[in-house]
Amino acid sequence: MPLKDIRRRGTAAAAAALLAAPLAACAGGGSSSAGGSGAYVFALAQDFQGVDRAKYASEASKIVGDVMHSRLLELDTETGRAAGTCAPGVPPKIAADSPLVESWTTADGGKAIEVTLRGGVKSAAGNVLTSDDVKWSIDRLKAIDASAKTLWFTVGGFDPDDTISVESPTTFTLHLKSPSELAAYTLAGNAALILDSKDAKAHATPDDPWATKYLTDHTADFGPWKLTAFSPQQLTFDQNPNYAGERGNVKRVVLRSVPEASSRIQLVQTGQAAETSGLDYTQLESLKKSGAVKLVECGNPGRDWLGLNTEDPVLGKPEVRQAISMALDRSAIATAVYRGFATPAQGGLSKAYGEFGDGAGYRHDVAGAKKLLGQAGVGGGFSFTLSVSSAQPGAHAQNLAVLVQQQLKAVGIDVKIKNVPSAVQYKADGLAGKMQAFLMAESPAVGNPGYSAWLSLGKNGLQNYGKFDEPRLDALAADLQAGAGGETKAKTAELAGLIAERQPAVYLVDRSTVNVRNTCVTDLPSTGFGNDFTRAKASCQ
Amino acid sequence: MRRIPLKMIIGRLVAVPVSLFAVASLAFWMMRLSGTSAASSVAGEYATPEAIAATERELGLDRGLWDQYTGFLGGLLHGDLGRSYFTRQPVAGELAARLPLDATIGVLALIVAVLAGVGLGALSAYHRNRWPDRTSRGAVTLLQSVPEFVFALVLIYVLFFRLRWLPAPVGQISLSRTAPPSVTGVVLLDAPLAGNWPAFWSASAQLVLPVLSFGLVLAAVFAKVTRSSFGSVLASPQIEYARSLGLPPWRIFTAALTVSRTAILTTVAIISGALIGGNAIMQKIFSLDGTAAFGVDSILKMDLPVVQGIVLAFGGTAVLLFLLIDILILLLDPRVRARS
Repeated sequence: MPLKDIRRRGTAAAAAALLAAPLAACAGGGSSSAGGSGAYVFALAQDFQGVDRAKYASEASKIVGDVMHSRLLELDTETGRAAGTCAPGVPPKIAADSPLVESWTTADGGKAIEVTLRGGVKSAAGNVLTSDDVKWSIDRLKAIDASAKTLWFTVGGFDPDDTISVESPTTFTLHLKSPSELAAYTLAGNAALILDSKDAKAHATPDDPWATKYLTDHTADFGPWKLTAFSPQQLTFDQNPNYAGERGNVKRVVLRSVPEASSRIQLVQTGQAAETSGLDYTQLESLKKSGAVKLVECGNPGRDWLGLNTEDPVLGKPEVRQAISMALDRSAIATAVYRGFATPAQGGLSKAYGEFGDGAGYRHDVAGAKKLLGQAGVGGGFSFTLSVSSAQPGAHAQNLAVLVQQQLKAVGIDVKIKNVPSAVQYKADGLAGKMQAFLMAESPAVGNPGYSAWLSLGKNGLQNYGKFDEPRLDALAADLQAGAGGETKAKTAELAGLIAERQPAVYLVDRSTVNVRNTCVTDLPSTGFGNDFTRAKASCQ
Repeated sequence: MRRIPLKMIIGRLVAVPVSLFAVASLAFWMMRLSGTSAASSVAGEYATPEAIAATERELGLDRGLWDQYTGFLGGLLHGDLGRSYFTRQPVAGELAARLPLDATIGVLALIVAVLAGVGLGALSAYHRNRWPDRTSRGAVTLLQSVPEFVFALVLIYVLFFRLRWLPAPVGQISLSRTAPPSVTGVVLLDAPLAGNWPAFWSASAQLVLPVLSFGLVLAAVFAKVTRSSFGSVLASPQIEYARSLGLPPWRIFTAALTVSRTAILTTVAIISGALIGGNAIMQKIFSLDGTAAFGVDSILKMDLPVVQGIVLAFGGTAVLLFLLIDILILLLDPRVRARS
């Protein structure tokens, strides 16, 4: 376009911009809803830095991963599930096949997983899925994806030195260092995104051999969707025309960043968004009464807990932690803060894993708590600082902190609340063991009691901000992650008992995942660990 | 002919780089005060301590503070503001993509504020202590006493959620439209450039609520200033003299308004300073990806290069804006010129 034309158009654009606003206001919104074009609009609080999980990790990347869905294995979202509800069971079963995999089986005493790929699976670029794509994806995550590496090799138990043997274009074997219950779940999660290596390599450069620049705002995989528009505010996914798996009636998935919670609520109430997330429990309670919105609760082993730094001279005493646990009225917390969307914690492990022990250390008993504090030599009371961030355990953190403060006052404990506005700082301080006490959410990516315990309380656990160090807990957690060889129930009970006795984390409530959807969404296959947007059925306005 | 005080202008221009250096240094050291490293978050949710340490090395956060500072200043001299830890893009590019949106909203809001505020203030002063004055003062008091974000949320609730007159506050373009290719980063400007008129109308409708919310709140300030300065001028001997000569009311009105311009221009300068970066909450409420909202996110994420870049960009713009307004006042007002 000649420069003169651009200038003229630019001037026209500026002039039009000045004149347009009032006219547009008179014309009203004038837009048809996204639902009219068969779109599933998900309004979420976070923005998007990129869709390459290896480089951009955030809360939003979990939902992005659920949409991309180029995974080897799939969670069974159908067994025992009625339309519009969530698949029961923790952990959910893993399906025998998937859109990418014809069959899979464990071998070599649980130290290998043999996989046969489905024939003719194609990416949006038209390339056929082969074992080489799987190998390249694994090599890539080993090279640049710190989070996926942890999930594959620390949690999943895969052998980092000999991860995959390719037998043919459609068959390969994944090797484990030792048997693990979690290996197959790793393959059914977002860390196991299988990329179209031919497409990605075509956009790689000597400086960028893993095509990170291209994959920031493009998809190159074998999933049901192709990213067709990217901005930090919105991701638009249209159908991969070559995808042969089962589909619902959704033609497009739009993930839109809407930071303001009240706007997200209004969007989902009006049907302009099919779903939203990131609401606090007061908002969920008011939405429950709204006829336009339905709340779909999915069971998972999520818990919120009060963390106490075990390196602190007072909080490090087990009697003090037990006393704090007994001083808390969890029923009042569940009612006042969680508005009935959570149940009081009754043991060292989430009730999703079963009932263990008599729950004595979790009953509200002020007299018992005072007695224990006296035994610990702090009967006259003491004080500690409780760090709070809306990032952990969520938007309700401040309310929860205030209630904990009030309840502990009854036993002479003075809680000083310190607000940490930055989630980054909260995490950094936690990892450095700088916080005396803190509030946390335990949201395991996999439903395994050993993994849950390791995550928050294991010596090398990723959320062990309290610096708890108990070799027996580590051993039990490792055994349960490995499968426990027929002793699962006994070891789970022992683990729950150990946590209940030592109270390294003062568990407050067990909670489920609550999905907030407009009634226009008639079905969306879900588990407590994620959603399958591809098979969603919706008829939004 | 108007005498331009060149010496003073050159003196101010020389001070600009000094101010920018001070702002840059302040931004660098203030962000380091917390001692928090973003590496644990950049590395990802499941990163191990080894992976976090590797990320720290990759981001250069393992280097000494003085080394980082000299590197930052050296980069500045070459126009390099560094790369965002989280988006991995050059900071200069990230700002260039967002600043036009801040400017667009700022200018439109300022226009609304000046038109509504000066109008209300002048009307109020002209009809002092009569019903138009009382009504205007009531409106101004209401606008000043309600926090701007509350005002914005109420407008959204009424105009979008209840009446459906305006679209949902979902950013620059409605959910059902595809944004045109980005040239300026402002859909309102990019859409006509691409000849995409449906997108243009959608973007125009999207901006009505944020511009109104911001503009009307700011209008209260202009109304107060105008009423005060305009009222003094109307009571001055010059206006009394003009009235006694039998000049028509509109001549008296415009003459008084002309005399009040210095106070109004000074208010424009102050408000512009507040507009730059001051609308972060409003941008968040309306899901607008401007520099101000990006800045708030970056502070919370400890994305140091971005925060440094934004402080520099906003600081530099404010310094230049104040200089421009000073020059404008000097050129327009002989009283100030004489004093300077």
